[in-house]
Amino acid sequence: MNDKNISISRRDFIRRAACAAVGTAAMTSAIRDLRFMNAAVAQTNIMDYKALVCIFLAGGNDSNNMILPTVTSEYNNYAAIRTPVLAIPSSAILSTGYTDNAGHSYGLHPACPQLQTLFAEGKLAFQLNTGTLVYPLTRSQYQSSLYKKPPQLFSHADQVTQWQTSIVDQPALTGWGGRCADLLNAVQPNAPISLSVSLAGANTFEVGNIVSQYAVSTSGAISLQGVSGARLAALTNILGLSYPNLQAQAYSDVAEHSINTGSLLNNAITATTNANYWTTPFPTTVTSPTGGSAFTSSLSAQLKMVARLIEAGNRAVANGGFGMKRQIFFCQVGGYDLHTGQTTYTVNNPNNVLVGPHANLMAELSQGMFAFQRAMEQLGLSNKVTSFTSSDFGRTFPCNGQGSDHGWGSHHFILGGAVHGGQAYGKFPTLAINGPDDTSTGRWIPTTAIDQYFATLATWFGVDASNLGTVFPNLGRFATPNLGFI
Amino acid sequence: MKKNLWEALAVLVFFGVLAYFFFKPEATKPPVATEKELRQAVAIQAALASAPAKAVTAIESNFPAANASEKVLPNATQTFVPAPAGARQLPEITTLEPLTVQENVRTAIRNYGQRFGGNPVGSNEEITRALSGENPRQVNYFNAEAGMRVNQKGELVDVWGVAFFFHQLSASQMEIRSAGPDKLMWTLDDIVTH
Repeated sequence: MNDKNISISRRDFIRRAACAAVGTAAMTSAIRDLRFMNAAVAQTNIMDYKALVCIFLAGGNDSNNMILPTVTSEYNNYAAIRTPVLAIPSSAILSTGYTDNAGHSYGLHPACPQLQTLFAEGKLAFQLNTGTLVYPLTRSQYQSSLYKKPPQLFSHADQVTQWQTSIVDQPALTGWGGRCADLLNAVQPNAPISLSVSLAGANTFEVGNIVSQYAVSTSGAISLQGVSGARLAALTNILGLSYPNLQAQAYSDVAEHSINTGSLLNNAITATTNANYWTTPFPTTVTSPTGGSAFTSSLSAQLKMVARLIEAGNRAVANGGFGMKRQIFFCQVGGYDLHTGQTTYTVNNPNNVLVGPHANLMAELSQGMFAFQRAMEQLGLSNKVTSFTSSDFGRTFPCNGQGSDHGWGSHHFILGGAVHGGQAYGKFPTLAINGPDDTSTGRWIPTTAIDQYFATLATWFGVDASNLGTVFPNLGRFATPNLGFI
Repeated sequence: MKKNLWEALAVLVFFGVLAYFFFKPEATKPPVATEKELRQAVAIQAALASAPAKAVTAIESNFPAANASEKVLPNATQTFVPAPAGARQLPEITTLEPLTVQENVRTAIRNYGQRFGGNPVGSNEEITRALSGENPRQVNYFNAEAGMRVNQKGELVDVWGVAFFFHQLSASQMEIRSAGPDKLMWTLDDIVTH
C-alpha cells in the first residue's frame, strides 16, 4: 500500500478533527433530544390536568425557624443555641400535634397560623433537611477531602442554580422543570401558551431544550409599552408582511407571536379579573400576626396570577380557555438572606424576636399559600395542583449576633390536595453543633437530596419511572427515588 | 520578490500599530466616591477619633477600637484570646492600613478563584484553611507580610482582631466585610469590598 495515499497534512488533520468534534457534540445532543422525543411520545397518553408551582424563597430561608422542634429536650437545644436574637419562645410556637415515628414533634413559626390549618387539614407536608448532594454524605465524609461535595456550597448563585437544575455536579444547561416540560409537552401539541410560565422573569428552573419559558407579570402578559389601538393594528400589519431577509422575517414572526400570545392570555384571564372572584381573597398587603407593619406582598400577587392562569389553562378551548393538560409555574420572593436584622430583638425588647423581616416573610408565605390552596379548592383543582418551596440553602443554626449565615440543608413545604399532608418526611437534624448532622458551624448536612425531593414531584406530575433517570440523571445515587409525600 | 517583502513589512507594521492601540491600557480616572462611601469614611474617621488610646483586645492591633458602649445587640462581639504556646506563630501586629489588609485578602481570594475556577467556600475558618494550602494543589495564598492574621479559631481577622465575614455571592463574587473600628458587624463603619 502506498503510504502517500493515507497520509494527511497537519492542517487537514486539525480541520477534520474540528469537524469531528463538532459532529460528535451535535450527535450527543441529538441523541439526548431524540431520547426526550421518544420518551415524550411514550407519554402522550396523559389525559388529565396537573400543575406544579415552584415557590422559590430567594436568599436562603432560615427554615430552622420555620419548622421548629417541640419535644422539650430538642427545644431546649434549639433555644440554647439560637438565644437570644433568633430563639422563638416555646409558648409562641404553633403546634402541629404531629409526632413522627422517631419521636420528634414539630411546630410552626408563630406567623404561620394558616399553614398550621393546612397541615391539620392534611394538605400540607414537611420535607425535612433537604439540600444539594452529589452523593449521600456523612459528617466524616464531609470533613474528608476524598468525597465529592456540591461545587461552591454556600454561594448564592451556584446553589440557586443547583436547586433549579437538580444536576448538582454538572454545568447548568437546563432546569428540572424545563426537562419535565420537554418530556410532557407532546401531550398538548396545540397549546396556545407555553407549558412553562414564570411570574418572576427568566429562571433556570424552567429552561428546557424544547419548551421555552413564558414570562408574565402579576397583571398578565407583558405587552408593548405605549403601543395600542391604531398604532398596535399598524404594527401588527407590518409584522404580518413577508420579508425577503430571513432574519427580519424571523424577528417579525417572533414579535407577532408574542403580541398574539399576550393578547390571547390577557383575554383568557379576564374571567377572573374581579377581585371578588376568589372566595378567599389573596391579600394585597400582609401583616404578621406577631406584630410589625403591613407591607405589600409580592408573593401573594404572583400566586394570584398563577391561580388565574391555572383557571384559564384548565378551561376548555371552546370556553375561551387554553385546554391544557400540564402547566409549570415559577414564583420567587426575595429578602431571605438575613445575615442581619432577622428579627428586631433588642435587650429592651426581647419579645421582638417574633417581629421583623423573617416573621414578615413567614406571614407572607403562610397567607399566600393559604389563599392559593383555597383558590384551587374553589376551582375544584385541589388534587391537580401541587405547590412546593425551594430555596438557595438553609441557614446556620447558631445566631451570628444579628441573624444567620449561609447554611446547607433546609426544610420545605409541599401543598395540595394530592399531598399526603399532616406529616413530616425525611430526617430532622440533630440540633447540636458538631453533632452528626453538622458540618462544624451549625450547617446541616442534607439527609435528603433535592433529586429525591423533585423526582417525587415529577413522578406525580406524570414523568414515568423509565424517564426519571433522564430528567434526574443523579437520582440513582440515592436510595429512595420516591419520598412518598404525594 | 523584493516588492513582496516590503509589502509584508508594511502589513506587519500596520497590524503592530493596531495591536498597540488595541492593547494599550486606558488612562485610569480617579475613582469618585459614592455618597455611601463618603458616609462610611466619615463614620470610620469619627469612630477612630473617639477611640480610647489603647483598646483591650486579645490580638494586639495598632488600630484602636472605637468605643463600643453604644452596642446595639448583645453577643455581637467575640472575645479573642492569644494563641496558645506552640500554636502557629504569626505576627500579631500589623502596621498596614485596614483597607490595605482587606485589599490583600481580596487579592488572595481572587488568586485562589482564578487558579481553582471558583472562590473558596464555607465558613471563615474553612476559607482560611483553603487559602493556607488546604486545597487541591496545596497552594498557599496566606501571606502574613500582607497583614493576614488568624485568631485562635483559625479565622482570618481584620486589623482590629475581628473575624472577616465572607458573603459568598457566586463562584466569582464575594463580599468581604470587616466590622470596622467599632468591632461590631453590620454597622455603618463596616468596611466592605467585593
